[in-house]
Amino acid sequence: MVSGRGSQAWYGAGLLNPCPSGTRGFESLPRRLDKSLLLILSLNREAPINLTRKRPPVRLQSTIYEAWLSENPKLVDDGPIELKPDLDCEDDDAVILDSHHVNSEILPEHYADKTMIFGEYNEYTGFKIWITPKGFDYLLMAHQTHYRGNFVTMDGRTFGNYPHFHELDLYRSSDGIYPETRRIVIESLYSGMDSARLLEAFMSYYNIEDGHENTIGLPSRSGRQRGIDEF
Amino acid sequence: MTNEIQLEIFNKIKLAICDTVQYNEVGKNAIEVVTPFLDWKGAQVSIFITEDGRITDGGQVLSQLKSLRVIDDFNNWEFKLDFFQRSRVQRVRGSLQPIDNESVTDILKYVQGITRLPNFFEPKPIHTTLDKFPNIARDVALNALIDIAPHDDFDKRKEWAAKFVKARHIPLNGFDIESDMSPNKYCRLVKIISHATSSTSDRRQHVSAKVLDSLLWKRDEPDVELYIVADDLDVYPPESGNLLKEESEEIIQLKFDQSGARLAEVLTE
Repeated sequence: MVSGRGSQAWYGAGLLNPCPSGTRGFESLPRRLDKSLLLILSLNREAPINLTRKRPPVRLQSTIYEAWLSENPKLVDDGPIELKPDLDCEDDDAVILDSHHVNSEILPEHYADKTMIFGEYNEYTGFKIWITPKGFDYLLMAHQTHYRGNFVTMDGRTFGNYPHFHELDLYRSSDGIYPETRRIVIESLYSGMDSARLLEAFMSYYNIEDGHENTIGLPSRSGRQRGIDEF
Repeated sequence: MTNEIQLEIFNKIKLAICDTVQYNEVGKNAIEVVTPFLDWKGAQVSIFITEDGRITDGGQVLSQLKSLRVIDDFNNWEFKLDFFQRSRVQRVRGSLQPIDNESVTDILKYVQGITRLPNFFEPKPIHTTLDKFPNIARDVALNALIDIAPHDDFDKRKEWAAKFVKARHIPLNGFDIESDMSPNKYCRLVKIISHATSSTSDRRQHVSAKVLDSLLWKRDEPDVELYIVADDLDVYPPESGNLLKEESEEIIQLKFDQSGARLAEVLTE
């Protein structure tokens, strides 16, 4: 439905002032709303929607998941990944990690099409990184902290509040339905590490390639503005 | 009538749900209350109680919306006020907090609300910077043009068709404007609208920038015609859709059958 008319649509689109100096007013511009609308409506009526064929449901097999963990590399679209400051939060470590699509040759198409990496920051528990298909459970996580008692890693070591990664354990399930999680602690993780170091360690360990050459840094809290040249 | 078997099962369920509610000491002397609710990623939703008794999500939900690149959608969400009211949620700087800390009903609605909130928005992960839609649109046009090419030899048909799908630069008062394809009519601009998976503000700016050329040219040449090629107009903000409808002769949406043939007509007539 068309709700705006005339110059309102222009203001709504954020493009133009109503009458810049030295130019004609936009009221003089041709208005073809009715004609365009009729054309669109006629197109909609006469042309049925070309429905795409649905793909069958898929189950992520443990062998596929394990192969994906070592897939080398997992390419990230439109890198390099950057951390941006979250200016709504007073913490210097508060960052935003924009979601990026993660490519895969190994994951089933359903997963590969939708898999993304993103982050979230909590004032009390710190930064978390997720790799997850859009709209479904995680494939990998990285946590800056752990406040829920001690945890045991895959190799049998016990940690308290310590940075760690989570993987799915599709071979094990306490209820026979939901996969277990297994926790990983590697040498490059250390207590009190910042968001940038956690991200760097995570990307390195899981072969996530985004094209960055220098070490990932914490962002300046002055922020940056995007330019129209991107369009 | 409720029997003993039912009551026994009910009590087990109730106990199991209550047992999942736990608390942990976390940073800044706050405690984390882990709830039985799961978010869309399968993670348990937590709320936090600060040392001065404030209940908050620690900024996590809004942080997630920012990272998923849907914070604009949330800010412009038409149901936002109703959501805040019904879920008893208020936004306090970068965090979401219950409206009434004293009311357990409010707190429960708040937890349910912050659990549901991200589900209302479709994440927009950044895909490759090479937006594939312009190439897809050109391929659709090329194939449709090859079908109607006035030659028998395939290479000649392809060569004939290819000249229509090239971009055309039109000099205008010292600068160039661009048509994304090259229709027979010189005063006809064909613009491809892409960025379908970008953020709302990016899509809005992209559409505005695409329409600007025809507007500028119309000042010198009133007979300029603008034709729009998009995959699906519904994915763009309503005001951008209105702008395209008002300022174009026609919007060809490739989601419809026969759109390729129509595009070929626009290019060749």
